[in-house]
Amino acid sequence: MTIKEIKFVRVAAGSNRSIGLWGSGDNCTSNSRKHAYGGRTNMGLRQKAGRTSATKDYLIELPDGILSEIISRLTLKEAVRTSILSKSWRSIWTCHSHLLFDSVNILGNRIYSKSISCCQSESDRQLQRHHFVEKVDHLMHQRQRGLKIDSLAIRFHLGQEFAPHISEWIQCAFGKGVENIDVDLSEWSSFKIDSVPVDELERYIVPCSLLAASNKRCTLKHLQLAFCSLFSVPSSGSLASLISIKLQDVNINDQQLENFLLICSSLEKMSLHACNNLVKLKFSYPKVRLKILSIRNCFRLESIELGAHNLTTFEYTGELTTFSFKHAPRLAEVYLSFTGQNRQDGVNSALTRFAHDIPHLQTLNLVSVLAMKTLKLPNKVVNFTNVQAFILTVFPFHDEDKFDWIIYILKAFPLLCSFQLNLFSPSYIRKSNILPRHLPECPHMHLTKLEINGFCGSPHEIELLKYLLDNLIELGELVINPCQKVFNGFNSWDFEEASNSHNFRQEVIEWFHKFVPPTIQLHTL
Amino acid sequence: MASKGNLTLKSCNGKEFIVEEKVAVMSTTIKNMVDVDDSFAQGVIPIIGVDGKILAKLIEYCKEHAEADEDEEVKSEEYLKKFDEKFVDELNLNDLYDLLKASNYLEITKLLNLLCQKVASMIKGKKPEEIRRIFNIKNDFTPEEEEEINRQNPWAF
Repeated sequence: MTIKEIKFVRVAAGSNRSIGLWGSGDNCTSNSRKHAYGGRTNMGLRQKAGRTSATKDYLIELPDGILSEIISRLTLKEAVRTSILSKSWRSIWTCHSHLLFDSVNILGNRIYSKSISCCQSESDRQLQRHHFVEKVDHLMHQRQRGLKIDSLAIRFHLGQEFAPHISEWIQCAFGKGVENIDVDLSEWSSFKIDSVPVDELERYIVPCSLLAASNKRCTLKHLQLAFCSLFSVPSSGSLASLISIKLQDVNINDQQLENFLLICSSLEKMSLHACNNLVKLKFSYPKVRLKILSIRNCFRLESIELGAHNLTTFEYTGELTTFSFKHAPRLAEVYLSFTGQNRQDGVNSALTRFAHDIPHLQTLNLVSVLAMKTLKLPNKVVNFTNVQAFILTVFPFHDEDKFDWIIYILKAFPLLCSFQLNLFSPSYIRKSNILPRHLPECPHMHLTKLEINGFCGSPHEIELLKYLLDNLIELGELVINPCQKVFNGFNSWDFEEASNSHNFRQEVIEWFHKFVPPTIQLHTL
Repeated sequence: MASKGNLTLKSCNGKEFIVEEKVAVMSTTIKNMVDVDDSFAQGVIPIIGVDGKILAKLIEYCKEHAEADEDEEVKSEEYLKKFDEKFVDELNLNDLYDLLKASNYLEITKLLNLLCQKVASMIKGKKPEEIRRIFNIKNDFTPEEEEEINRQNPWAF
């Protein structure tokens, strides 16, 4: 990102070698400013008029690269506004390298404000679409003159009707070495969705030629598409620079996805969200270098065959389908959150069968929704000897929970080092008395770090903690947080915002002091 | 002559600074030089185009950040943030420009980003008149031309 203007000059001066770093001008910068950088030839964007006049606008004299860095830190709107400053500033904004075209930036709308009411008619919307397209056309026309485009984001509810425009914007960005493209044409990118269903727009079809044409000198690294169709994937050509792709609500079928992956030889990260034309997924092509795969709510999926040799991380949210992990030898991190009627079977499989299926599993991140109470865990415990970190989200954690699962986990994960429990306890108490729980001793010799989030200090939570303290022989670090913690995917977490109600009650604090041994480092947040 | 592990940097007006190598190599440009040939490290590296005052500023910045990179305990993120804020707030406009150019061609990316952010924050949310005043920009448009610009991108104004 820095702009190299250095010439390395080696000067042999006697025995003393001296090496000079030469700036763009050879004089001291502060004294003879006019000349110091006047020798630059890269004046492409500015008009000479500004240079010869008596103005002391030194900002404009900075190298284009620096100006571009500065301008790109403004919003597009603020950048365009600088064109009014002076003649030299007329076209400086076109070096803005992050183009974000959305309802706020282009139409000045505030999403969800009263100006876009929920009962907005389709004809109003259509009018807005035309306005939007006209303005972006106009902007892109001016932007053609500018330098490199780093990122292009289009977020507006547009359909196939405007395809020639959308394709031209993307084409232009490709021509300027774009690295990030984010096209979200869904309704909620720009309009408040009302409860009355409107006729769905015909989706924008990303043209084959657009992707194929980029193969000459492709710079695209990250591609995000939402609410469009990828029907026609070029059978040849390549998107060799592409590293990550995220498809949300995109029409693409199994075969088309396979074709697409074949031209993306460097793809490392893929996210498929609500792509409902996908049925049987296979990632078994030798060329695929995929490392991270996330699949969320693709509700027609029947089977997923993970055959990507480099795959290390797999995240799945959705109904239980047929998984095959056979050819994913490097898979070490798995996130599973099952929905629908079979979610209990899903949790069950995760806690039993996957031990065999994913031999190198190290981190298991499992969300159990309404499943713990009725979970039927086998008496014969399976051993997960590779798993070192286990993150379990229990939703909800009832006061009538029998704790069978925790006993199972202590037995099934003998080499676990770190255990994170994210509890979601309902605020009501069903049983007024503490249940008589008969919990067998399960000493665990490896676990050193325990983290419990969403811990309010209810009797059943205290009992769970007490049980763990009694059985985790080697525990050295205990983190207890009253705020609930939610996984966002790709290693990112959200904490529920702390409020006064999240302070531990005095008796809970006293309990900690009484029952947590001094050998354990205790962090209460 | 600098002792081992130190480099001597010389400004365009002849001021010499002896700095630890880890501080100097915050500049990718200097790092590349030292990496290519370690005999560079023995002599004096003239930083032509940068005067003593600006070079001293650059070194001040790099020193703090190099130390923070080495030991997070002593200089926390928060400390650095405060240091950065104070550092840019104390700059006058001329120094700001000179530092921008110097950090650009010495490739001190962190500092360049910080300075660009500073200039951007001086533009953000201000009326054209205010921006002109801050940066000594002379409005050389005729009222007609100004109107035309307004017409071209009316949504922005």
